[in-house]
Amino acid sequence: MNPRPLLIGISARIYTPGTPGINVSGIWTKNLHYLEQSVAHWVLSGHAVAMMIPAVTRDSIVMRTDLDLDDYAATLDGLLLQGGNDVAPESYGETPLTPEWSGDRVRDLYEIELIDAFIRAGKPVFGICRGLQLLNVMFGGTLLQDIATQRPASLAHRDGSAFERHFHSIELVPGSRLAQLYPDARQDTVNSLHHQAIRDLAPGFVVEAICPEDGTIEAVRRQGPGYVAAVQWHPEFHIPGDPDNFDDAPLLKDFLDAARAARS
Amino acid sequence: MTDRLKIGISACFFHADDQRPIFKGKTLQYIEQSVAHWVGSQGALPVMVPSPEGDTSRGTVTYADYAEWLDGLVLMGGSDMWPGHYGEEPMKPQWAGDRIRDQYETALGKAFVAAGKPVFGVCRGLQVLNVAFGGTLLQDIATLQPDSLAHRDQALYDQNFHSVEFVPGTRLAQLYPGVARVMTNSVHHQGIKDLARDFVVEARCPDDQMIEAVRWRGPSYVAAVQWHPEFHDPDDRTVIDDAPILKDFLDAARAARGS
Repeated sequence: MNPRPLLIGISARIYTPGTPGINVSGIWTKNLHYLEQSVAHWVLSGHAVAMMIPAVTRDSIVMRTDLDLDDYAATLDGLLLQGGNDVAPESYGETPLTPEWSGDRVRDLYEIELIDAFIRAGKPVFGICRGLQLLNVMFGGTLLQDIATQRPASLAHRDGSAFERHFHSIELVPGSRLAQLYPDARQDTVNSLHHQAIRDLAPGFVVEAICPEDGTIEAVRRQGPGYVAAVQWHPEFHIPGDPDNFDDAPLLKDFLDAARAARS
Repeated sequence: MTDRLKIGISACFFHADDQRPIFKGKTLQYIEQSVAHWVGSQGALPVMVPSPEGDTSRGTVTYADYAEWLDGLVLMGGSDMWPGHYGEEPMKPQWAGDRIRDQYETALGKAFVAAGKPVFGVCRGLQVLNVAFGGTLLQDIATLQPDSLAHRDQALYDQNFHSVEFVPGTRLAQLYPGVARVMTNSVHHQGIKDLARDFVVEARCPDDQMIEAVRWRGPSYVAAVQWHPEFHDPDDRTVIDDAPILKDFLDAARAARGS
């Protein structure tokens, strides 16, 4: 038998019937769990076996079975949080400033329970975009509900027409683990497609990268035992080998090395 | 390490579509929540197996890796198959099916069969397995067998039902001792025309003889049903109780793990 490859769980994006603009018949009457395929391909690029974990929470409407998320944490070697909808302001003690910023409370609850299970099992967790925001909230931080309104001097961190082809520079914080992964780079370029951002950093978190133009937090890590780290950009949308954007391979390798270490 | 079975569920695709209000130009892979919860309803851990192929494909992980580290596979329902996979031209453009998903699920299913791990097909999954093992499909039941029942009603969707009769003596019939006929939902556009050579029919629709359940005669567990167990309300006594079918599949997965 071959040495077992790493098994990495990816949290699901959740579609609930009722999304504006979607024709509600047939498949669209069902709850769907999905991923954008490049996120799976990014994990596969590290020679890890990627699989998506369906949404099941103890107290939400999706509960039907005796499934226990702790069993996923025991079976898989690490957890990757996909990007997606805004975090619900109620998850950090606020009310939405406008109805369209209500976020996705169902997914918050599912992912918080999943993250908690992996951390208790001593397995690494890596967050992408929304994943960074949710980790910050879960550990006591807060978010800007809308960067453009609440920090009008900021860069545009999302451009609906450019989608993942919207970029800005980042600066790695010297001495951070992230900076150590990139000994030759102090500044680099990343994609940017997020509507919210960290306002108050969670206690126990350190900032590992910022946007030098406006100070937006672009990468964080939780101090202490275990591996909890996240980036505000989308590594899966960077074109591999493109010298004009960040090379995410060392970042993925670091996460997968931590998963391997946690297994033994 | 937990003792729970890890069951892969094949993904459905929303292919890149510039008309879609979200994720323009991106390929999404998804499962229905109800399938995951049905698979998990007896204690197995369901996961979706993403397709490693496509324009952003990277790395060296293969279908065989999934087959080695998971205990069984469920092929879920969804779009039609591309008729080219059973040697026909699409009779109408809208019956061209999903060729990319066909290739992904066929390769994934074959990897599990090669590893001796059980494969269970739901609806389209039955059709994929029949074609992968050499059978053919009716591209459109209503046109090609006009005397058939309506096996799909877009408005009723998963609330369209008909009866199904077990073939006596089959493994499926043995799971339901004393029961000859049940009701199932019916949400499919295609159906089996020629059965794959090494398959046996385990259930039919008595009204039009449509094949409703099949099983491979080969050395490992390959079985499928034309209905959607995940849409049945487990408290509804008027439809089939699908729990024995799931248990049989999971028992096979546990047995394959031990071998």
